[in-house]
Amino acid sequence: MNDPAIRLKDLVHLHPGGKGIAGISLDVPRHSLFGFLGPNGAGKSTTIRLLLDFLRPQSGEAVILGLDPWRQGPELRRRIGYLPGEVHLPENLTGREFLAYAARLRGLVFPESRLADLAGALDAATDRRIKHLSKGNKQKIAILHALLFQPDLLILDEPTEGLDPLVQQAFQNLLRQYREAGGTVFMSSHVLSEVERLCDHVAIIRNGRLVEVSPIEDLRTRKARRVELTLTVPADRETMSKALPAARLLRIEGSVVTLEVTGEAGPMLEALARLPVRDIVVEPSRLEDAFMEYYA
Amino acid sequence: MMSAVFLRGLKDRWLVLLALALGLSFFLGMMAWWFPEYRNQAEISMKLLPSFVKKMMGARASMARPEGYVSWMLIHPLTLGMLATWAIGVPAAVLAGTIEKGTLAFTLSGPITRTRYFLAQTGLLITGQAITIAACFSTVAAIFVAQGTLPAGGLTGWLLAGLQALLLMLCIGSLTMLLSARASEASHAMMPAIAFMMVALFVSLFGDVFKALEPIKPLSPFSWFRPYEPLAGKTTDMSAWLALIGWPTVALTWSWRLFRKRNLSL
Repeated sequence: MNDPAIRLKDLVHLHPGGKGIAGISLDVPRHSLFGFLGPNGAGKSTTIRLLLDFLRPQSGEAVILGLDPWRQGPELRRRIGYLPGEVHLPENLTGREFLAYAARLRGLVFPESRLADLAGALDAATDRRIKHLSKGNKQKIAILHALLFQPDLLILDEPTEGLDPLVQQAFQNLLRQYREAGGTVFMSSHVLSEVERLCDHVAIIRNGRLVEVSPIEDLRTRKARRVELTLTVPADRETMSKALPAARLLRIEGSVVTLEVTGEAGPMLEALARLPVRDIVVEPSRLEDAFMEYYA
Repeated sequence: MMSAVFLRGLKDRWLVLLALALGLSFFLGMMAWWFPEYRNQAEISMKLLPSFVKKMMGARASMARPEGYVSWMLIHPLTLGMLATWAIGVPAAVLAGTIEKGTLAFTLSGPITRTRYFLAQTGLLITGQAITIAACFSTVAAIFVAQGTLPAGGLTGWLLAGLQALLLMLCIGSLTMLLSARASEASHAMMPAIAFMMVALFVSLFGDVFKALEPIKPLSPFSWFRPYEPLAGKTTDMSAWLALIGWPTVALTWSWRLFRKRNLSL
């Protein structure tokens, strides 16, 4: 069971306009929260639609939970919870009726108590007609639909769009619980802070090609961190360059030194121990920096 | 799974179905109720009817006979229009309409194949159409029996005429299904289907009047709709049945293939 939850190999699907994905290879580890980042039109939704057999690839292979999404689609989709980027639910039904219909489609008994737990966590109105719900409340019903049947894999396309911050937090907690219970999450998002807080792996897609796939910690480590030192004595450039050869000096103003450090923090801390440091402020490297590097 | 999709579709549309069944039953029932009175003036009416209408009703049809009168009822524009409401509306809504509304994403993200989804929706088309036709045919039959004016073909003829009406509507419905399997908006399937129905009806009605239409007349399913024959106790020729069965079979098979293979940008 060490196979990845999702394995894509040279997947190609180009739309007539030239957009789409142009050869994506990707492994999504099991039990991971995998963030799939990219700007509009980069190919995120196309990839997700391919995984769900809404689209067929022009070439390439995919194995999801050990199954072929295009030959064993129904068997696979029974184990997947999906949240589309744009939520359009049958307006004339209540949330509960819609979810009961989804249960019948899966040949399952309606999981009443699980619905009560999930709806409680998200404060979702399941007994009102969907047409009377706000965008955020419709999104909650769609989230319930994705989580309700205890899938092995969650595929989420912009999941927190339209949710208020409190519900976003509740949803993120649900995702963490889901992962702890053994599930895998593959989510596309524009909200970098959310991916940074939630995900342990990230892939960045640009113009239909992956430009970065790595654990989020590796990405952070590789990124430069900004460090501001306040010394007990005035600093000079030469001393600082010798003391911290791996750092890039940005600015020295009296006893305040600003530098940029890349890589592991250990060597820098050892070097700092030899300096008369009164205060230190380390700004964490952010996913946004990595993202902007690829898109700037 | 198929039954879930089918029952959901039926639940969503039961009001429309009820309205169509009751509306048609009422309209045709009223016409049947007036038949005895109408029969007295039938000869005058027959003279007033254009020849192409007489031909559609049956070459030797007479409004004085119930079979001729019922044939007229069945090719009445209101009858055809109401029957086609289901035949065009449902196929347009269940494929292209769900893509347009975005609800197909939720259904197909579940463990159902597109083939099963398509079959469930085809079942909905046929069932709804059969219910509508059964409701209005049984109403009219009951009235004719009460008046003692049942067409000569008897119950068998009556059932065969109903089956012909069902097959005719399935021709229209299957064409809409074909359009719907390609379209991304319900109106893109409905409009061409309505246009086709009008043209097909025109070709069938005026094929004998405008000689230029004659060669394409066999392409119109309306040309093969001959309720007068079973109602009068005559045998409808096999080619008419084959055409009425072949049309929907080919169109539905083709639309299934299109829907199964198409890329769905939902």
